[in-house]
Amino acid sequence: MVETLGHGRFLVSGSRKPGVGSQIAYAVADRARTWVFIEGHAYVIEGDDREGHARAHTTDDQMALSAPMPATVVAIIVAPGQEVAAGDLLVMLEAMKMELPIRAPRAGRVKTLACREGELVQPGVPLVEME
Amino acid sequence: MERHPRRILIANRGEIAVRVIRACRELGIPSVAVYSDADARAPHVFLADIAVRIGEASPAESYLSISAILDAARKTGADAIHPGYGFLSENAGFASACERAGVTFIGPPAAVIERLGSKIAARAIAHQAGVPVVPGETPADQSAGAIAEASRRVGFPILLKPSAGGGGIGMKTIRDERALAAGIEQARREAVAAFGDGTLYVERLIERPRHVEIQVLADNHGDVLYLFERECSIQRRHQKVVEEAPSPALTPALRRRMGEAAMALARAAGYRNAGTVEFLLEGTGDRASFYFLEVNTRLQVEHPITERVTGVDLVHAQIAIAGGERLRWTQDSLTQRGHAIEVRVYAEDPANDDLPQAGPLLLYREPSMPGIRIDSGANEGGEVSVYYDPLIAKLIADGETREIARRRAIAALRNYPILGIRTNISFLIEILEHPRFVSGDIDTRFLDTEGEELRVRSAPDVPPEAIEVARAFGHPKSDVSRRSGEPATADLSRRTGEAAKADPWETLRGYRG
Repeated sequence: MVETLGHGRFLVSGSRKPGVGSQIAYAVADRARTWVFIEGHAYVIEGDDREGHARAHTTDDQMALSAPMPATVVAIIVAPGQEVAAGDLLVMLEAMKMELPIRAPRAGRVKTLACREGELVQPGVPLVEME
Repeated sequence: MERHPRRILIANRGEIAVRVIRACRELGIPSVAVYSDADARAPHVFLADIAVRIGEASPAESYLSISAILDAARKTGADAIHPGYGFLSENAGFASACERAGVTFIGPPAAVIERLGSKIAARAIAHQAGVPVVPGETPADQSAGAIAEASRRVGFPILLKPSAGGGGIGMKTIRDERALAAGIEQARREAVAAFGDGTLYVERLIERPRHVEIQVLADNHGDVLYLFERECSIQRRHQKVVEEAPSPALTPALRRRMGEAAMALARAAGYRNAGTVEFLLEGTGDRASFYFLEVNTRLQVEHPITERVTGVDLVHAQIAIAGGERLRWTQDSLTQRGHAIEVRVYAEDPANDDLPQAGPLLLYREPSMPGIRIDSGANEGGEVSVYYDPLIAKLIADGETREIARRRAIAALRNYPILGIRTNISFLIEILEHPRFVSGDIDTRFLDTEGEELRVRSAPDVPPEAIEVARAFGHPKSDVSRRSGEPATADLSRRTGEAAKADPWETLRGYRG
């Protein structure tokens, strides 16, 4: 049973959890998605137009890896021609004071490196090409 | 001589700017906020008595611009600057520019910031003060043979680190002689690949260390005291996530030894104002060893837990010290009472490499309940910008015991809805519910060893209640997908009896009425 309380609040009763009575849940709309918060968990419920979830690295068909947001290149771990395994760290970025590791999505060889240490890189611009 | 600040400019943003502006108001001192274009509608701007735009969104153009900040101080007649943490707070050049401009920098003198900011100089001061440091050296002869010699001198297990590096990149653990030759070669290769410099630093590996830091206060009259410890072992990639005071690992005798070491170091460095001496702690109880790491010459993010257990307001103390007042306390008058736990609420995705999240706070409601303090710089309708640190808020829970503080923190997090961007709230709850955290058995590798399981548990499948709520809200249709990018996690996401017991309505039932 869900009752609308207003201001994004909902009363959820008859929970599956034994011994727990009613809970207050929260919901808000974000274009085609609905965000719901219950008991410390936030859920994103996709609508018809599903949006892809932001990824640590975006990969297109040619396996060019790029930054997910404006970031600074902190360290380049691999060299062109190097064989890497899936999950290997390729480049370490930093954005919003956090490290953002760019890892190999699958095994392969590093074809080109298109960034320098200390460089500010923009989202979507390829940093590493793999083959 | 006392020279109380008459108007304080806060050279920062977010929760710490809000925190300091509130302290100014409590003391009856007018406050000046500064803001970048990205923060024109941020809470700290509205809270201050005066607000000055200092530049574009990029930190280099605003919160890191010494000239823009000093201009703002001049224009508004501010005679003191509180730097908060981060940005210019540990920038000796900024502190000396303030001194030259005749503005009181609320922190230590520029020369002290500079000395303690250098790892080598800080180690030398620690040595001079008789404070132990982690054994280590950079051999002048960098041949494999000389590094092997140095490794034996330092003593196994050792850590080989690129001298030019940082952030844990290219570090190699070597446990014994047999692994030495291959380890040196590999560490060298990685150091060259990552930093273009193969110089190696040999350091004793401290096994399962805890991060324990001591808060010190020093006035301009030569008096120093310590406000006990904070344990900050729950961290990932050198960023703290959960902190608590007191540390579950300290005995009164060890606490006193660490406090006295921190004071000796502060005296040797000529320290002034509030500062934190960070240590690695190996082992627990009276036989534990501690090693000096570094001094943070500023107010720490996690300062509220010290305030909760000592009753001392550290920002008030900083302002009083900067005004030339003597310390208002004696060491014997200070006590730790009860327990406090701080969790950092970040806009980041624990299920996706902790990727920082930027976006709107479509719904943001802070919980209000006994024993909870929230320091935040966020508002419903506001937004988390890509330009700055993704910290949304700090939630501080206290109680007479560690267990009560822990349960209060969980109860508050379960009632802290933030929607519109992903946060680490469910991950924080999983940390607080983990049996090792419950028993206080933590070290700085906790999130490396337990993090993966916690991440999976923190992102369960969408339960039927959530779908019902979405429908009641008017969600278009029943096309409901699992959180994209998530593997099926039925086994791990099923709550165990232990976790189910931690429901706030159950655990705090005894406190009702």
